[in-house]
Amino acid sequence: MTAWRNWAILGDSVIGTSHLKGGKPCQDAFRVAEVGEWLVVAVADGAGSASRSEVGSRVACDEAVRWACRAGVANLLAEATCRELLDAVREAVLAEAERLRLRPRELACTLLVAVVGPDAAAVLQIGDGAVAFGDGTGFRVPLWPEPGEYANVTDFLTDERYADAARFARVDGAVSEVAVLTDGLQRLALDFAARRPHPPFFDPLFRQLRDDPDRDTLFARFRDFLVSPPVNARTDDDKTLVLATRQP
Amino acid sequence: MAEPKPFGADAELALNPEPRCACVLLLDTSGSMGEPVPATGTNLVYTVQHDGRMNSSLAATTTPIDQLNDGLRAYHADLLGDSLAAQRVELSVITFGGSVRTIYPFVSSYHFVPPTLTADGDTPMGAGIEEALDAVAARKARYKQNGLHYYRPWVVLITDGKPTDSWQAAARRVREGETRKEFAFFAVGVEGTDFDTLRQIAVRPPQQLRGYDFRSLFLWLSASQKAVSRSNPGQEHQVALPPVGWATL
Repeated sequence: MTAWRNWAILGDSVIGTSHLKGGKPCQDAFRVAEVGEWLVVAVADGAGSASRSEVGSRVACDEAVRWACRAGVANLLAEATCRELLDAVREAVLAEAERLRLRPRELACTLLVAVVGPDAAAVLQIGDGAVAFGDGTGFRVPLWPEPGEYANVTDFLTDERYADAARFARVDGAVSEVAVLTDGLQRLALDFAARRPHPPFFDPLFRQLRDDPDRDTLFARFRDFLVSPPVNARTDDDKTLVLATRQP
Repeated sequence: MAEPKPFGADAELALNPEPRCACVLLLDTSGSMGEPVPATGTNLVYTVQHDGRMNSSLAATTTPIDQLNDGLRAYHADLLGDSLAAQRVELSVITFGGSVRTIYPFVSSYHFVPPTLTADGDTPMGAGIEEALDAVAARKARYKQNGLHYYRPWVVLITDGKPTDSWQAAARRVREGETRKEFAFFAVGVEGTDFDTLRQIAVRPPQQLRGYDFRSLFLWLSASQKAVSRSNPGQEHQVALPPVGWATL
């Protein structure tokens, strides 16, 4: 998707090559909402082992953005409100599971919510994936993705102990750039040895989002990037990337 | 007019080390593994008449250890055929036959050269298991020290007999480790193995190999490890892939 108001936004979820081979759908989802100066991004990654996690991730993103807008996005800078959102989103996913007569774990997904206002921002996260904030001089990842002990273990919204697994961080100060990505891109965008974002990944992408003159084809080229051979050689998982930069 | 510049053309992807999948092959090399066995579809012994007298003659063309060595080579070749798995799977070979020996400390699949094992001595399986679990724990500590991501390590025990040493402490460690998800411990025996003891050691049901078809077992192993080493968050429980092909029903 592309949208241009207070923010220039590019976002897409694309299917991983292993899902293509296995006949699975893309289990990632994302939603974005601009509310005046504010931006809300929700991204979810459906569990590979769950039968209908593509439904779980879609419902989770829909409900996260809907709930955020109804509650007033500025309120999400408070951890307590974010945790209410988390409960509401989980309820929505469990209700959908019940409607489909499935166990909740069949809709298992992670959830990342980023909220950005004029002078503060917040992240709510369960499971892996990452939110990076930029202020024009550099990027930071307020919640570092901590996998479980093993690389193929993470926490899901549908888990019993979801509330313990969910983390929240608030960042004060201006945020002009936001990137939200699922774990399919994690190892390409973050430097795990140094535990920091990899600027040579983010800088050129945001520069192009801001300055590329050919706006009409930008989204198509963004999508091409996500499925380009260098990216696919490094990840066979579904991948979601949302980039947003504040318009001058 | 010039083509628009590809998006992300200047973006440089971060180079993180691949996550590791450690696997110990814990192999029985006791003397019985060197005894001749019938090749598939033949009898071990046939009778010949010589100078009017009946004689028994050995028709065997193979030994379990030969089949095991062949299986190891097939396993390694298959892993190397998958570049991601080859980068991620790290192998160690520990044998128990007479004594416990670490033939290979952990190395990446690329640096692994399948050894040609020989069979001799009794079956110190308990000590072998303890050695394997120590190796796994040490490897995980190194991964952590170096900030590497990793999958749950595997220990694959392959035997044709019963332990000749004390194995109860080792069995306890296997059970505790499985409960804490420290590793996944698989036990495979050929016909004639003491499965009662194996069941007391492994939490996962021990599998009986069909004949001496180590090759099929190892090809299953590499296929499973290829799958695990590509698995993404939420797929951990798929580490317990169903046994196929090589096991007897």
